[in-house]
Amino acid sequence: MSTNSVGTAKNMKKYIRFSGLISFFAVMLLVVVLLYLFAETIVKSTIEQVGGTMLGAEVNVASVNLEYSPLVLTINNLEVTDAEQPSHNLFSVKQSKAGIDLWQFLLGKTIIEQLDVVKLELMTKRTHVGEVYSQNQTDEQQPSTDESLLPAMDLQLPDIKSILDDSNLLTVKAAEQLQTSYDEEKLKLNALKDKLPSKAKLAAYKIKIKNIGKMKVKNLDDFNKVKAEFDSVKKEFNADQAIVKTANKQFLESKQRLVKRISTLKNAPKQDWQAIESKYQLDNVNTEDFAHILFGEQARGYYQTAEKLYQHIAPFLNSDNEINQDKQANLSAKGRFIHFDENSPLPDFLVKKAKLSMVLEQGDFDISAKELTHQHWYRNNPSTVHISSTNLTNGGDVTMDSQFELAKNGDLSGEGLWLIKQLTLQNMALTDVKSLTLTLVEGKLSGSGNFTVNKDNKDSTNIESSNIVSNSHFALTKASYQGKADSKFADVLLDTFQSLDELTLDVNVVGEVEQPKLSISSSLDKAVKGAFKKQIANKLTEFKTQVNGGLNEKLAQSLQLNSQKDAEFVNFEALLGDTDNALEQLKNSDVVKQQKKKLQDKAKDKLKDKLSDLFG
Amino acid sequence: MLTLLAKLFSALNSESSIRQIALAIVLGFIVGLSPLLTLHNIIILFLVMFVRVHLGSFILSAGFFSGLSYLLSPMIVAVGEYLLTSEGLNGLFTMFYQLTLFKLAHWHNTYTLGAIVLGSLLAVPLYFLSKIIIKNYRQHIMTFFEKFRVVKALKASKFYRLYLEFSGQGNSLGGVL
Repeated sequence: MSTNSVGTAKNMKKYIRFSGLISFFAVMLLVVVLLYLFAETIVKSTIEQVGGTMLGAEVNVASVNLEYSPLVLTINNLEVTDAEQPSHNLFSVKQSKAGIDLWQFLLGKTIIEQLDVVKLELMTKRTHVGEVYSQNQTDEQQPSTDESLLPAMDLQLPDIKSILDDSNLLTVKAAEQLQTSYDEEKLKLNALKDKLPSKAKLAAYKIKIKNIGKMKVKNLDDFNKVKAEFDSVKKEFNADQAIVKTANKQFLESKQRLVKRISTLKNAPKQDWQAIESKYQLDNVNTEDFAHILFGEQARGYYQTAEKLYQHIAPFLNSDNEINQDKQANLSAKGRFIHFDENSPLPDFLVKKAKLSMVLEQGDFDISAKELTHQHWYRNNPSTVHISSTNLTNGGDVTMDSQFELAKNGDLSGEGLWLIKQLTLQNMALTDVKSLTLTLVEGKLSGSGNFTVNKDNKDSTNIESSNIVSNSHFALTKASYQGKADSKFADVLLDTFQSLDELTLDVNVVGEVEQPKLSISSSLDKAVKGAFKKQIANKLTEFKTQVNGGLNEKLAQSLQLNSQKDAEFVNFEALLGDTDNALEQLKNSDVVKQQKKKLQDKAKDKLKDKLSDLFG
Repeated sequence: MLTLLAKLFSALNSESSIRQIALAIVLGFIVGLSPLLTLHNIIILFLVMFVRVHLGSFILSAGFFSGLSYLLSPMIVAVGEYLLTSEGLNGLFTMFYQLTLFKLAHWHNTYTLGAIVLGSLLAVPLYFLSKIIIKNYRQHIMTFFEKFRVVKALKASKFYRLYLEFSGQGNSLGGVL
C-alpha cells in the first residue's frame, strides 16, 4: 500500500464517519419501530383532529388497527358530533375497514380498494355532549308558514265587534269628514245668504219699476228722465245679481265637495272589507292545498336532512375549484398536494368498492357503492350507489339506485330512482298542531320516484347553484288513523282521513338544491275539498255579512244624520234660483219701452191732429 | 437536554471544526423546517451520520428550527403554493411529476416544497452566519464570559461536569461524537 493511498484514506476518514452508517440504520430502525408502535395512535389522533376541523365538531374514535400486508386500516366506533345538536352524532360507525394502496398513499393519493362499513347509524345519542368548533349559520331554521295555517283557519277569524269599533275604519273616518264638510260649507253659504237681496228689497224694486212706468212722459226730456231713473235702478239689479252669482258659484263648489264626501262614504264599507280581507288573509285561503299543509313540513324535513348531508359532502367535492376556502384555511398551514397531468392519472381520493350496513329506526339497509371520488374525470366512471333494505322492522322492501358525476369544471350531475314496496308504517305523527293531532296508527306504504341534479348554467363556478328535479309518488293503503280535533275544520279533515281507502301523495321538488320549490298534491285534496270548502265558505260568508252589515249601518247612520242638512242646501239652491229669476225679470222690464211708445203715440196723435186741420 | 446543551458548548469551545458545526446547524435548519418523515430528511440524516458534522449541533438545530417552523408555516406553504401553482413552472413540475421519486419525496406538496426551497435558500447565509458567530464566540465571547462570577459558579455545577466529560477534559466519555 503506497503512502498516497494511506493519506487518501486518512483524508477520507477526516470527512467521513463510517461508523455513522451503523448509527443511521440504527436510527432508521428506531423510527420504523416507533412508527410501528405508535402508528395507530397517530392515525387515531389525525382522524379526530382533521375530522373535527373539517366537520366543525368533535370526532371520536375508540381505536384504530393497522395491518401492513396489504395495508388495511380498521377504525372502531367512529362518532361524529352533529354541530347543530351536539348531544347527538351526525353519524356513527361501529367499524370501518379500508384496504389502502400503500404505494399510492406514499405518493400522496388515497386509493381505497375496498371499504367495509359496519353499522352506520344516523343521529344516535352521544354518551357525552360533543364539542362544537364552528356552527353553520346557513342552517338556521326558518319559521314555517304552514304550521300556523291550519289553526289560523279556524281560530283566528277576527272579532267582529272589535273590527266595527275600530276608529281607523274608512267608513268611520269618511262619516266624520262628511260631517265636518257639511258644517264648513254651511258656514260659508250662510255668510253669503245674508248678502243676498231680501224679499222686501225685491218688492221695493218692483214698486220702483212700477213707479217708473207711471211717470208722465210729455216730451223727450220726460222720457230721458224715465230712462235715467231705470238705469239707476238697473245698476242696483246688476250689483245684486253679482252677489247671487258669487253665491251660486260657492254653492256649486260646496255641492261638489259634499257629493265627493258622500261618494267616499258610500264606498268606504267596501274598502273596509277589502282591508279586513287582506289584513286577516281571508282572500288567500287556499282550500285545495291540504296535502301541503299536512305533509309539507315532513317532506321539507326529509329534504332538509338530505340537503344537510349534501352540504357536508359538497365542500370535499369542491377541493379542485378552491371553493370553501374557510374550512380549507384551517388545514392550509399543513399544505396540500398539487397534482399535475400524468400518463395514467388517478383521483386524489378514490374508493373503488364500498359496502356499508346502515341501521335506522325503520330497519337495516345495505349500501353498496363503486367509484366514490370527487374527481370522476380521471377514470371517466360515475359513482354509483345502490341501497336496499335487508331487514325492515315491520316488513316491506326499499331500494334505491343512483349515480352521480362531478366534472372538472365543478358541474355536478346525477340521477336516481327509488322504489318502496309495502313498507309498514306505524305510529307516525302526521300533524301535531293546536287544532288537530293526527297519527297514522298503521299503514302500508308503496311508492316510487326519481331525481336528477344538473348544474345551473347561470353560475358555472358555484356548485351550490345546482338544480334538482325530483318527482315522487307514494300510496298509503290499509291505513288506520287516530286523532283529536278541536274545530269543525279539523273534524272534517279527521273524518275524511278515516274514510279514505287509499291515500296518494305526489311530491315534486324543483329548483336550486339549497332552496327548492316543493309542491305536494294528494287524493286527500279532492276528498277534503268539497266538505272543507263548504265549511270555509259558510264561515267566511257569515263573517262577511256581519262585518258588512255593521259597516252599512254606520254608513246609513251618517247619511241619515246629514239628511236635514241636505234639505237646507236644497232650499238654499231654490232661494238662489228665485232671487236670480226675480232680478232678471226686473232687469228685463220693458217700462222704458212702454214710456217710449207712449211718447211716440202722443207725437203721432199730435201730428194727425195738425194734418187734419191743414187738409180738413 | 442538559447533555445535548453540554455537547453543543463542548463543540463550540473545542477544537471541532467551525465548518462542521456550521454545516450541522444548516442541515438541522433544513430538517427542522420540513415535515419530519420526508425523503430528503432521511437523505440529510444519512449525510449527517455519514459525513463528519457535529451531531449534537444538528439535533439541537433541528429541534429549534422545527419549533420555529410552526411560526413560519404560513410562509412556507405560501412559497410552495406559489411555485406549484405558477403557470410558468407548470411544464417543469409536470415533467418532474412523471418521476416517481419526485412524488415519493412529496415535492408536489406545498409545505414540503416550500420548506425545502426556503431551507435551501436560507442555508447559504445561515452557514456563513453560523461560522462568524462560532468564530467570534470562541475568540471574544467565551473569554469575556469566563470573567463573571456566575460562570465560575456554573463551573462548579453538574452541567459543567457533563461539559467536561464531553469535551474530553473530564473522564473518558468524550470521543465518538
